[in-house]
Amino acid sequence: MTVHDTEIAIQAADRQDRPAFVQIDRVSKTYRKGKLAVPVLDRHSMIIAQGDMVALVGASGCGKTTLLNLIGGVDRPDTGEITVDKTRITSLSDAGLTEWRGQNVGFIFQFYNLLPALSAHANVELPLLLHDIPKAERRARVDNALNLVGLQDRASHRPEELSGGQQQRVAIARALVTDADLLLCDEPTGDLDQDSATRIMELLSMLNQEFGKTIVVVTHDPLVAEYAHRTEHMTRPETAA
Amino acid sequence: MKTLTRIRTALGISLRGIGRRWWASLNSVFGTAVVVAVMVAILAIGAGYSEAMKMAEVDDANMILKGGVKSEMESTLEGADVRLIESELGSAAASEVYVVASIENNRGDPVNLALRGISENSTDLRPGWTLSQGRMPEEGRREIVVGARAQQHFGGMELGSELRLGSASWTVVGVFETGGSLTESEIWALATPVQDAFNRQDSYQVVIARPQDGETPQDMQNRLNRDSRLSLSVTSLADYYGEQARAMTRFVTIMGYGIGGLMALGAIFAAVNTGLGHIKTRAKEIATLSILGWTERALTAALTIETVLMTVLGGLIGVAAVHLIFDDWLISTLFFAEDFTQIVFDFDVTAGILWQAVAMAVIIGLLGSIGPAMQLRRLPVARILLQRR
Repeated sequence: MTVHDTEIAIQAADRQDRPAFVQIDRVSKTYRKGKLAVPVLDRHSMIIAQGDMVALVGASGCGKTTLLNLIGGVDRPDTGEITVDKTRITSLSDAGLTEWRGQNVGFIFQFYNLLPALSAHANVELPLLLHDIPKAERRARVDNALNLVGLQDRASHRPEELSGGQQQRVAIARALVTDADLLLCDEPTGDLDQDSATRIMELLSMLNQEFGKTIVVVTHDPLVAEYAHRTEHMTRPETAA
Repeated sequence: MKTLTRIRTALGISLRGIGRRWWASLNSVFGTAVVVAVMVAILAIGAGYSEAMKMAEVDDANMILKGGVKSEMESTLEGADVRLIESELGSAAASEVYVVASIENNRGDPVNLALRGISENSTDLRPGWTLSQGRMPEEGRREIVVGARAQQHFGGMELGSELRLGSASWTVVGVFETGGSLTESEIWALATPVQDAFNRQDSYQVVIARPQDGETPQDMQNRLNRDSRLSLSVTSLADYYGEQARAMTRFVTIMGYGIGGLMALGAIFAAVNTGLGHIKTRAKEIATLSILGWTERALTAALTIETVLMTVLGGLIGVAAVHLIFDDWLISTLFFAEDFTQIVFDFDVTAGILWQAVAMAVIIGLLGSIGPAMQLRRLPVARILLQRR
């Protein structure tokens, strides 16, 4: 065992003492394709501790993204319950869930999902527009977030004027700007070259270690999964007719 | 409050990106502009006609016609009857000859105009009547004064020019104005030369008279018909012209809303099409906003407001176009004229029509946003966010 491995083992033991931040309790989700029922999750349970960084891995269609969407309140399970930071999100109304999502979750997607008409600054500022925050404070928070991801000098650039890695860093800044404790990342490096992917994962790792963000990453890439403290291997339930 | 913030910000974000889809937005804007322009043009015709009629309505003057007739053209009052009427009414009456005369307009087309042979009190009984150019006709001469609108619209009626009316030639010696009323479509001469030229001997068509205090037209009719030698109909000038105005207004309102309504269907489909196009091109943006905390209700409201803003902008462009091109344009018609003479009036884009146009644009926007709003609610947000574009 190396010193690095020892540090990880100590951190893992430390995390086990922390309270559960995300509790997934026997969650099922089935999609329908015509008459065909496609179960994606079948009574899936999982606990993610506060400050944990978890990688969800598995074959295509095994429900990684579905689980991420359920944790983030983008979708609802057919059965089962999900609690995030003591809020049972499966009991919230649609509007309540949307509001909760805006305040508590930062999303990072493979294809960035930045608004093309807005500058990097305006894209990062977006989530703050829903909060009663004075303009000067909004500016300061956006500047901080862009600074954190190393893009302070690209604030006025539009997405089309940025590289893929830079766009993803803007997306990360947007996810951070509300100081959400939970970051959900769906293939965050899937559209990036190796160098950019490494920078993004180092950034996420830093956010986890220095800022205590709880991070869930969906990935196919074993190298990306290596940054996580824990890897959840998911399998696909059987398809029922 | 939060919902309003969400709507406002969603709308602001959408409008900031409008440059990327301006062609589709123009489709909705100009579709509505055309509909509103047509509707406003038709309603402005009605408003202009009504206004001309309204100005001709004199509250305290009655028309005395032959019993049982409804228009001046149908009425014949013999000289003896007129003298009986005048003796009953005194100086508050003006006997007038009314004939339909054909002239050629400035394009050489024949048009019918009203030629009114007046008497001494005719101008006094029409408040607002002013001689704007020249002088009044003199006794014993075939001289005419012409209404300003008739002069403007038909041409060939400048001071000193000769006009062929009936079998005789007449000299234009003056121009009169009445604030744009129906009367400005007429030509006036003294009664006697008109009777001579049109072989009317000692007969008239109408007596205009001021009623006694509190006397209704029916009261006046009863008073006059107490003389068994008379059989007369009395109606107020307000009712006489008001009825024509109401008929025309009804007609153009039905036509305006009928044609406007049919065209609005097209504009609604254009708005629906534009809205659906917006949803398609903005699916990523909408899904992103949704994930960041914008509620479906706020996004739907913002979409509806944007659609309505586009159609209202179109409506205002339509109104402005009609206003700039047509407002104060003189037109003439025989429609609803009791005596088949041309009535000259102007397009009148009133404040009421402006509001109706805006209301029409709002309705087009609201109806046009229903389909796109339903589409927005069905957006598969999670799936869209996984797509590259």
